[in-house]
Amino acid sequence: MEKTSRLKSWVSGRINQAQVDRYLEDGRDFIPDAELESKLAPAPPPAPARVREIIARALAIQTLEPDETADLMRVRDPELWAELEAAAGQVKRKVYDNRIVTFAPLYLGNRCVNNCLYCGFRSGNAAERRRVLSLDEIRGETEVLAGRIGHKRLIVVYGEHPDTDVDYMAESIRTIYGVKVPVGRGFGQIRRVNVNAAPMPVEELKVLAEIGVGTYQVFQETYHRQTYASVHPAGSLKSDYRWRLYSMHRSLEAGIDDVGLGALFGLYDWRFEVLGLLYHARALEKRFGIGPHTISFPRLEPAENTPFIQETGYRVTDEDFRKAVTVIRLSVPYAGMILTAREPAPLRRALLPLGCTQLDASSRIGIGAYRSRSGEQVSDRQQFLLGDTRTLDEVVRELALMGHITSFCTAGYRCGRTGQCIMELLRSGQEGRFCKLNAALTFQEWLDDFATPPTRAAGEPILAREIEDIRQRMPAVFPAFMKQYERIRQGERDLYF
Amino acid sequence: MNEISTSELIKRFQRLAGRLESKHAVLLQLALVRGRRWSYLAGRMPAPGLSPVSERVKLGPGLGLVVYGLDELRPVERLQVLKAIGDSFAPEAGRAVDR
Ligand code: SF4
Repeated sequence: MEKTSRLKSWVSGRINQAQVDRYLEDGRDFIPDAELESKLAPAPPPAPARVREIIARALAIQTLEPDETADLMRVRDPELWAELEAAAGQVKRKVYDNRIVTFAPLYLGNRCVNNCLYCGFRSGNAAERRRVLSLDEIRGETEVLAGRIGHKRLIVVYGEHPDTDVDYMAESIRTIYGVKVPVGRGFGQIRRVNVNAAPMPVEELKVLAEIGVGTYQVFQETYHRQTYASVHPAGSLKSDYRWRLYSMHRSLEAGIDDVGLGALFGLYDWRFEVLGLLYHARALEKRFGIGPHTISFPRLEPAENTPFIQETGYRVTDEDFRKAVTVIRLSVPYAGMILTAREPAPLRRALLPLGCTQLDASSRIGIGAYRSRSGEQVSDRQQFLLGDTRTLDEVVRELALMGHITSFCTAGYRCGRTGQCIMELLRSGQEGRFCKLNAALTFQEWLDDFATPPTRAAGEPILAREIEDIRQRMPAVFPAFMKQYERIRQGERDLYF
Repeated sequence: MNEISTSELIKRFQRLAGRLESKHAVLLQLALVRGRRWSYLAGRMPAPGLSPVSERVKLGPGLGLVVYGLDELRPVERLQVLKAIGDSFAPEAGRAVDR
């Protein structure tokens, strides 16, 4: 009884309506449903010349207009789709070159006051075993992630619950940043903690900002209001569409100026979600001059005792998912794109060339699952089931064999390359200069400390090629780079530009 | 550092950045420092020709400068730049951190 009233009182104080209303324009938010629906109404496919004009805008790293994105999703000709896919890859290379960033998710608790129909953590799911990690357990998980696997970057995930409130978040993130494990020739450490959490008021976001988090993500799940209402039961905290919609606005207001958008594909028409993401990016650009740092596009996956997932009428086929990824890449060309281990390895392999920039690897999403070392998925402690459980070492090796360098760089947010600065650098192709140097330094570091012999053998030729490329393309910086590089080889760690 | 408004701070920063850029060819960016996060606040972007080597200079709690081009200066000139930063902002400034 006491527990219920504690929960109730926590929930009732969460939403600060004024922090939504101040962003509305004439009482309206930035998702005009009817306008989005009208843009998606049946119409003839666009002429190839029009499609190529749109491609040219994307290649100039311009955010597309909604009509342009809608037109791309109307293309039917397979050859034009092939052109779009090639252009998506080109956009990615122009902004991010051949670099792929890796990270791991760390789920810290599965208590949640919400009851989202599609989620294994929903409060009504009696089959879920509930747990929140203690600080000691978090330390243990981090030691595995940073010391055994070799991750430098995490996304920490919290359910919406007073047991994982902002004070817990702050302590847990401080704990993660504090772990330093001797490994190989140096030490392992998490250098960037990104946060995936429920919408928070500005005051709490300021607490996160003070700790120095990386990116703050809140996924809208679905931009379609009616669907949103149907999957988030009325009266639950999460049922407030606009409180969630303006999470990123509040984050930027609070000083966390790297924000991540996302939609859960499979709740409604995928084309609507793509447009929703674009409208969201444009709204942030208009208000703050800063668009999303990353965009995520998870697809609904099976979860323990969650029949809704089998029943939804909007499951996204692999073919449509491929189109969605391509069009997102072209629509918001500067944003990082996160392709998660929800998807099976062969599909990730196939989607990567369409412009994805970040992959998770060695992922475990059960609470406390990194230290348990079972290697198995534990369905009653996970939000959903993963499609790709390969190790970081395996993923790095495969990326190298595909011609990609894995970047463990976490420098940007420690050097002021955030917000408007990173936007401008990405749009102008300038950020690549920093990333290229940092990718080479951190990749060498990782090969020395964590790679298995076959991964090292696959990675070294890529690294040699990168270093030669730096020598040729950036001769003025090459000596400074080599100085840092030699220091890394001698066992110094965490050097960056 | 005494409490001053953000707009006053940015004005002060811009005067200093302009002066140091024309005299020493260094580029300055002002950042809000939150833990390990340095969030961009003001300043021009490093142009393609400029060295990507930067140094971070703390201006006291919550504020810092990212300085590009410092590595290319003679030691005496470097000291002049750091002194100018210290004079404009705070006595704590004038010393580069963690490169
Ligand atoms: S989706 Fe998030 S908010 Fe909804 S029940 Fe799951 S953990 Fe809670």
